Amino acid sequence: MDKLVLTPRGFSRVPLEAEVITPDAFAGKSVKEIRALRVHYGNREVEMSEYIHVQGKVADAPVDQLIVVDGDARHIKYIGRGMTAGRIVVQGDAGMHTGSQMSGGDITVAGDAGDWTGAEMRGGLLRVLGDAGNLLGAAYRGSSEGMTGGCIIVNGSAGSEVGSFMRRGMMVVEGATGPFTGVHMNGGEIFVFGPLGRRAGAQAKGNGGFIAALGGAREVLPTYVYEATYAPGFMTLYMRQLAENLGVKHAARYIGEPLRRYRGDMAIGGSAEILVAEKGAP
Amino acid sequence: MKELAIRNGYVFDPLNGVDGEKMDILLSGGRVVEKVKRGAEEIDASGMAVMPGGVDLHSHIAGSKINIGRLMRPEDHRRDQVPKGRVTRSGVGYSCPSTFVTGYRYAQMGYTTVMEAAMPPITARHVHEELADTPIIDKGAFTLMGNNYFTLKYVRDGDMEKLKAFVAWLLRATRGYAVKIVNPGGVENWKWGRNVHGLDGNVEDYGITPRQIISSLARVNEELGLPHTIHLHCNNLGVPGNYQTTIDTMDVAKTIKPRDERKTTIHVVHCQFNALAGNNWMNVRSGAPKIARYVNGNPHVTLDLGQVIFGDTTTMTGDGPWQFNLWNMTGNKWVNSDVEMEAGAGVVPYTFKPNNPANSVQWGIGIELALLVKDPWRVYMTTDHPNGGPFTHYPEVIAWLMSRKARTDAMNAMNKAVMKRTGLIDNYREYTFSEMAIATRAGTARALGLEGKGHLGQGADADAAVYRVNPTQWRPSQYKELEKAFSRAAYTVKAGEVVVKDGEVVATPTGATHWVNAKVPEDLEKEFIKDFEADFRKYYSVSLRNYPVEDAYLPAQRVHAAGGASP
Repeated sequence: MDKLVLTPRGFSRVPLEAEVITPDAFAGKSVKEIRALRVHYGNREVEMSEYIHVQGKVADAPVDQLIVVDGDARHIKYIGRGMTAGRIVVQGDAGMHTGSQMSGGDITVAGDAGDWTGAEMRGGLLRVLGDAGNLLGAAYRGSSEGMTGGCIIVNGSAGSEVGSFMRRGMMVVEGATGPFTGVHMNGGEIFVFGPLGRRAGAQAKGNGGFIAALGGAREVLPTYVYEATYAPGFMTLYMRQLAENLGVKHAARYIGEPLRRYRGDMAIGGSAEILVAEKGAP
Repeated sequence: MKELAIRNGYVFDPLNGVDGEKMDILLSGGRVVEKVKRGAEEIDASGMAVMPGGVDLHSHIAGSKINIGRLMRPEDHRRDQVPKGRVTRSGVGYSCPSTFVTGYRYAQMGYTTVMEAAMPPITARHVHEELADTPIIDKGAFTLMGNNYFTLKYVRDGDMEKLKAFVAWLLRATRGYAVKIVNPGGVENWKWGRNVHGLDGNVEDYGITPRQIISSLARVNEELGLPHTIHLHCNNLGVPGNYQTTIDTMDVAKTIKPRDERKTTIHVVHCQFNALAGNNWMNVRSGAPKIARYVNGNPHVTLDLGQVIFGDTTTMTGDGPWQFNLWNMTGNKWVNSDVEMEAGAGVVPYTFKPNNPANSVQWGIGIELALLVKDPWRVYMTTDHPNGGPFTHYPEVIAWLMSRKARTDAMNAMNKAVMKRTGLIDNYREYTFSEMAIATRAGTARALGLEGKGHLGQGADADAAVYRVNPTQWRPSQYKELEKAFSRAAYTVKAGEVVVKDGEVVATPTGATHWVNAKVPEDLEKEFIKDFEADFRKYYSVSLRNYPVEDAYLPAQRVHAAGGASP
């Protein structure tokens, strides 16, 4: 992979909207051309090089492009938006909308990621080593289709409305989640290893979707009905995959863990499931 | 005075019998004229098609309904953002475009006149505010009357004179252009959670039927001599098997005597949604042949298509109960709106999918209607924007009508139900350029009674469109080129001014709002107002004095007289 290093020229209180930071937009261009790509600084359109230093090698195809954002990028929004291939590594924190609508490739954020990270994701792998903000992998306002593919892994915690309107794909939060996790969920899987936030799965229709609260739940909505306590075989497969292939080391400890199955949201005749580890059941 | 000459184009002006002749169109002072001075601005249209500016007679572009759509669909805007241009303002598009983008995009397709199809009287101000903000195009709005308390009351009492006075007064008060009727009686019943299921259903609390409402309003419409016929959205819309209701509805207006020169007495809107045969959505078939047979044998009917375009759109109609059904079917977002004493509405996003058998049949029905009705002057191209699809897809519909290959290619890519349950596969008709000009401008202008529009004869409004397609060389297999030509007009001229060049908006003048000033004898008007005022004070949330639209809301207006009287 050809490595291109982007160094933000210091933190700014005015956000920088830089949806051009993707392997797709960079590949095949010269470094000079990349420096001249347009970004929005507040309400002004400026050349990227004004706020970000660019140096390194550019690949011919997006799939061979590695972009390293070296430094604090809390103020930079839309990193990796809509990317289809290649790799982005953010050494520090990343701003809002990181990896939103991406459909391939992978992004790693070493620090924390802002709100709307991985919003409406279609495919690829997005990993946040710190905490993620609100609306992780959510649907943008008004849309009835959130995440439809790919995988998001957060080593820390996540905010509210995680995976709203999720259709397919997988989301793993090793820490806690805020309220309304999986609200309007309509398929897909959410694994939460810390405590699950309140009102999880509200208005979830189901379609095979589930929320696994392996770290227990503070409460389960009254519109979810308890059905059984069991240790489903598919969970063993998931946990093994998470531990062996996706680096969620302690997932292996949950193999064979008894889970309480709740079904809902009955308020809308849904058939989504919330699987709460027996130990942490409310 | 600004003068313009469009030289050497192949002109299609069906109202004046011009069919592709190479000639010059000369414009001066906002009119088509015989001569212009030397040195007038010139457009070289050689090798291109020249037509009058497009006239759309049914589109939802302004008012409370489309605004509800705008509010509830941020995801629709997000997918189609329009940046500010040199002369244009920024906005958003797709199924609920902002007013400015609506004006620009119509003009880019060579359209210069568009009618908003449903204006609840009490929100008329809102409609006119938005129309005033819709640049370039001329426009008008049809006033909803079919479920208005006063209409129902006068129909119940059999008081045709007062109904006439009411219709005339309401058109004037709302600055409306025509009488719009939506699911007559059904929307009234919807206030109690019910609907009517056919022409002879009971309208709650009034003891009347939709048949009575339609025939009364149609009669009053003609007696007042309004330029357009009644504009009717039939009962049972979207109910498989409803083609019979539609035919029966058309038959209601058969015995009505039309105003002087016009032969038609009823316009059935977005007929595709009302031409469904079969028993349910699983086995829905095309009822287009039956409708077309009736229309071909009865010259008093006109209709428009309401063609389906595959993709995500926002359905919005004054037909509250139907939108509730659609919400039940789809589970999408839904807004229901109840307009005091007057009307109702609903808005539900909907996605027409090519692999869905019912949707593919609906697509086929629209095209089939256009092809089976023999008289091109009585069937008009619309998508019922945005119900069947956004108006920006008109060029595709034009291609489907003018090229069998375009249709076959489209059908091959969709559910095979379209081949089995419509007769489209056996239909070889292809619209000519002239017929297309009728379906999109000449016919619609005539149906609306807009005398200056839809043609390029002496004295006509200087609205014209030049399309980059050579009609002498074009073959139906080149439908993609046709689509391109019609989506980006080489030139659009509005009131003698070039507003679009090579598909880009270059000027944004203000278009006029057309409305009809209908009159009844003074003593009748007085008697009506007395009665009207009493009920109004009792039941309305506003006072009568604040009800009519003031002229300040119409920065440019064109008043049309009813019944040949001076306005």
